[in-house]
Amino acid sequence: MPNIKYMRGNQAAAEAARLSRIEFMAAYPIPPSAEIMEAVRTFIQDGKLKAGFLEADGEKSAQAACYAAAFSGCRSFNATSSQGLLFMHETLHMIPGQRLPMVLVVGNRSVFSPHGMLCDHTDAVSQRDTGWVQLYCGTVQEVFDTVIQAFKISEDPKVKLPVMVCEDGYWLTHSLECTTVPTQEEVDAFLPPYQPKDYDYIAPYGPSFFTSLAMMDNWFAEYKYQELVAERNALKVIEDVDQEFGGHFGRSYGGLLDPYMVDDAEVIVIGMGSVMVTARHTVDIMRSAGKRVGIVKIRAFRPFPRKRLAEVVVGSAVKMLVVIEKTHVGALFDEVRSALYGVDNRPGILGFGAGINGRDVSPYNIIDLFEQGFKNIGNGSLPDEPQLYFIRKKDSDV
Amino acid sequence: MLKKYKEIFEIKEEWMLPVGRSCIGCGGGILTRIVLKAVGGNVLFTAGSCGTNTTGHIPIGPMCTIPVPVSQLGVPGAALAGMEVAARVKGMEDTQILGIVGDGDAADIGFGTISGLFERGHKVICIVIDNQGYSATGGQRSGTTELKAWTRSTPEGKSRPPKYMPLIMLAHDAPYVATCSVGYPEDIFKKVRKAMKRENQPAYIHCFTPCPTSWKNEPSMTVEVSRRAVTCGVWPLWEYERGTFRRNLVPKRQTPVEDYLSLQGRFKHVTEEDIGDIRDYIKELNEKIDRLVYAYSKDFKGASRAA
Repeated sequence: MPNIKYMRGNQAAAEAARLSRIEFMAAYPIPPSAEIMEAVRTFIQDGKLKAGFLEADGEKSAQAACYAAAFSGCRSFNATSSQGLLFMHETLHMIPGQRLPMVLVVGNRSVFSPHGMLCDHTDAVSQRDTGWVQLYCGTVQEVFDTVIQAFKISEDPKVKLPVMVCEDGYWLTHSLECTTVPTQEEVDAFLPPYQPKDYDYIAPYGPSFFTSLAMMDNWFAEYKYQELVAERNALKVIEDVDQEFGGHFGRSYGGLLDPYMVDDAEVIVIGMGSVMVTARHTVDIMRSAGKRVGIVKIRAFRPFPRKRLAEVVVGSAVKMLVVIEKTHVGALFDEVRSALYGVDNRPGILGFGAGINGRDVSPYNIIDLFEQGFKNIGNGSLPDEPQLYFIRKKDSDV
Repeated sequence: MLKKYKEIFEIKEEWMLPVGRSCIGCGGGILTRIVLKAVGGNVLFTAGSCGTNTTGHIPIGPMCTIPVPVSQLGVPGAALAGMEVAARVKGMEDTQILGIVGDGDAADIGFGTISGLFERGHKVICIVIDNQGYSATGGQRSGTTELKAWTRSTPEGKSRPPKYMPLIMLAHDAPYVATCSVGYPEDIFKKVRKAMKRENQPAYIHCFTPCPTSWKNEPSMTVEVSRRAVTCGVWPLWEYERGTFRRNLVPKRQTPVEDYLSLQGRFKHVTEEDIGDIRDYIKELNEKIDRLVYAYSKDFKGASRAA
């Protein structure tokens, strides 16, 4: 009998971190992800987890402490959201540069100003150039499983990059869902306790040279080259780890991206996060009415699976791609257009910012987006900028 | 007078290598060398700001034979705290965690992290290289820049007295707080050894370290400037150790402040009026320290003792 618990996304992330045997967590509270640090602290208090915990004086401090702990050979974990993620931006860059593994759970929330509180991907996509691997989740179970996978990806000797696990603020962080929780032995079999190589971390009398000035002979570029190689290796490792996870637990999420009903689809919706679960449901409804529609759920936004996406598109009958994303900046739209630039007979691409700051994207909205896709098949002058969907407009707006 | 510590000369190990890239006459370099001699090899150490210059360059290699994960500016306390907690997780309880932090990093941009470090009470030694400005960037004004001192961003001389960090850290309920000056290496050595005691941690040591590059003093006069700063009273040496507060060196005769100012190009522009202001500042600071010495002495009859 599998152990099924009714839990929120935050609880799932904390529980997964506990089963992953994290050794260090530093955090600073911010909604909607503050519950994760509370839960981990309670695990330590109750003796369910042996780990160091630091109540930091700010997100930048929390991340700097994780950086120092990862340097000391600890499996490190952190959780934040929105402004907190932006505040730690400088430290985010430090960690891939030193090739340190760690996992950061982001409860995606909008970024000021105005003072938004609800789900929005602008915080995480604005960190796309920090060198972190970014994985986006669709369900609470996926959050749970992705945190465990993330440690495995992050500590892979070919990757050794930090991983950001993104869960939609409130839609996932605070939504209750039935979640299958494996036993400690099952998790240990997939993800053994962290044992860094002796050159991977600092110790007294050990190697003595980290993060130093790199000016002579421009060695800085070689550091960045290695970082890029690691990012490319991550593309394969993410798929392998997901497959291996499937072998252990019977659940997998398609690795880099998850296509659904795409082979004969004429219009495909591409997106990230929990909205794609709604979209999957909508595809079932529309398929029963005979519409040829499909979806691609992007799981890895960094490194972006360009080749994999191109393969999906080339192998299908698609005429129009509709990109939906929970941000106004058009990050995913740009990536998709860029990935398909070299594809022969590439389909038209429409971009929509939908569900910004928690605005609901219902199956009706997704049907409407599919219909807009069908309407624009063969349209030679598609807008080359993402549009905001479902917006109150003024007549004077151009 | 201070008792000379023979031990400092008996230790033959050098943890700082002679290839260090600090400027000629760097007070911070002298401080780092003495501190590492006092702490020994079982140490994890972070250095920021000018510390990046003194501890290593890619691809030349390390200039310091102990691990130095350099943290970026603005989070010195957090990096130290993370190292301390991680060292405990890894079973390295007897390893000293040492931070050599610049004054701008500790007093301005990273003050919150240092404050948090002492509030949470991690077992670390935090040593501030106080060169009274942002010297790694050429010498701009920081919160600890001295009254009337020229910097690249205060060409007319700073109008406000420095932020006196040691007393701020005393207010954090730190078990050990001390000031020292690179003119008195045996004093630094003694204080670092006291800070190494676990019951004295977190320990805060604030060291006066001249920077010839931004202070425009002769590199050969670094030690002399640091000595005159103590004897003229602008940098009193004191230590606070678990309820005892004492001055370590009270000059028999206070030397004129002009002797201290005249060695440094950064005070070239000062007028008689400015010197008067500096004298007032020195008087007020020393009175404050004297009052604290009295307040922590047995003679003190405060309201809390009356009960």
